[in-house]
Amino acid sequence: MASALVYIETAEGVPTSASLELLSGARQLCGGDGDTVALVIEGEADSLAQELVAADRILLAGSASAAGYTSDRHLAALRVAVETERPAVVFLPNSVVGLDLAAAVAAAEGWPLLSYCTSVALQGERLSARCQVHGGKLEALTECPLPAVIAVNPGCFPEAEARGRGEVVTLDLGDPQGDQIEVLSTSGAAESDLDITQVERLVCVGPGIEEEDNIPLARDLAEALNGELVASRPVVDLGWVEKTRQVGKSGKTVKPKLYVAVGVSGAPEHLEGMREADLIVAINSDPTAPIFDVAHLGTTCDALDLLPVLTEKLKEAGA
Amino acid sequence: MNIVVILRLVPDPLEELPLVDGALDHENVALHLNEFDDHALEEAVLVKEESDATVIALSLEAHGKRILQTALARGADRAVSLVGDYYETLSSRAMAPVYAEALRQLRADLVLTGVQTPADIFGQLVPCLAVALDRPQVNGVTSVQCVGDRLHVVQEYGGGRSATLSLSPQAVLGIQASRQPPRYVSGSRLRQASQTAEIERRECATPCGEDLALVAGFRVPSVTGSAEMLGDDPESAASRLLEVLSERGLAASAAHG
Repeated sequence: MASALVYIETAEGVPTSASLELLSGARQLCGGDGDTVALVIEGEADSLAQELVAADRILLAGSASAAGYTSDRHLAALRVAVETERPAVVFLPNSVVGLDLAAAVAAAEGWPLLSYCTSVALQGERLSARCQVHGGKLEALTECPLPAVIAVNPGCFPEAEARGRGEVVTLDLGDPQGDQIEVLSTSGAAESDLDITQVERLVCVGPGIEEEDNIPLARDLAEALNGELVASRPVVDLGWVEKTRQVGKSGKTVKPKLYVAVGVSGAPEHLEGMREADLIVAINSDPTAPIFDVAHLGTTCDALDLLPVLTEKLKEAGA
Repeated sequence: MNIVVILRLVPDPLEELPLVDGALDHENVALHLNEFDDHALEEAVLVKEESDATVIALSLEAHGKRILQTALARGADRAVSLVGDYYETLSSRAMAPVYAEALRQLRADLVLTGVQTPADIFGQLVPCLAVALDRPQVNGVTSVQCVGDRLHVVQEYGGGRSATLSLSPQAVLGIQASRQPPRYVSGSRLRQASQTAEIERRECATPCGEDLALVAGFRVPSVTGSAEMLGDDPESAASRLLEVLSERGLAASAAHG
């Protein structure tokens, strides 16, 4: 009978969908007899109890009026929870906060960590997992002894439906710890006249577009479709496309009617932001690119050859 | 202030990743500078240009000289090659004690490196280093600036949310992106750096750590999608795409909701 501790990441006071998925995964992994414990740091008891229905117990740590997330304060609280609960498995989301905390708590406790998990299973006293690596082009089959920490990719489990006991318990953190980092300010998504989440047709450029000078080919296609140009993170990081047009984990999540991915490899972080599009067209000369896993239509044409032809045909068709 | 930037070569995911008996064939993998480390170097040089910091580029000797020569050409003040029997298959977590010892030797104040590499299955370097050095850490960083005796860093979360944080310069930061794209280095400048660069060699007595977990094997993920493939002829692929878009009413007019 294994027990699981699930770190609940919140955004503006609400648990993220990735955290709710983890609760579901924890119940699935530990079975009906296991104890699934949700750890909420700086949350509101009443609202969270309604959201975290799959937890047997909800540990509340710290004050909801605290100044916001910092890695040192949350790591200190997570370590107190681990020491108190001694779970078999600690679940964290593979997010920026997960990057702060998962390896740190594993290293601090001397426990193994499996990251970028897409599925996990218990085999006696060992945990096995499939992990997405190398931009999703390879899968690692991993295993480790218990207790262990796992960082799970979003979308691997359905959001929790099963109900736990939902008992809310206050976690005593003892003396205040983790005051090395101070939050000066927080902000939402960068403001822009363009909200790409509201655009029905998007043409996205990834590193396969090769050069900044090739971006206009994709912009022309977007215009011919009466849509907008967007980009994956590496292209934005290079300064070729504005940050407000970034799709993916560190950008926006979009659900357009049409998403044309040009030279996008399909790293998990990007798929997280666009896999719900109604129609996904992938243009990538690498036939093993993971983008083809989520695409409805795909071609291995050289994008630099295909884009002008397609744009011209759309114009001729009277788009 | 000493800023140490850790630079690592990693397999290029845009190239073929050949497997031999379930393991990555390192002999035949194209390596390139980890893209996040590239941004970490740029951010370190930007901080240096705005303050009186010294930038030290640190890399494994096994990764060759070019990575450090390029760092010097881009504005690093010193280049240090970590000598030892380290292999590229060693994980970030296993290497953390070695890097931590090197950072102590170099009297590092601020440590910058990429937020992750493409295969940090057992843990990323930044949190492991932070624990080993007992320092605060921030990941997903997109800006680092010195303000008085503090650092102001921007940490980006999902959905475009971010926070500006204040902390001591005695920290370890995982860079997601630099404030400006990594600067271009001309061939002549790189040649000059390769002729004049002095690369220091350091040895560490600290052994590698343990991963506590294992990889039973790698494999190419099974294809779960059912994409209709349109071939590689631009003319016919474009025609079929136009057909599908027209059928769905996506090839003409009205777009923005």
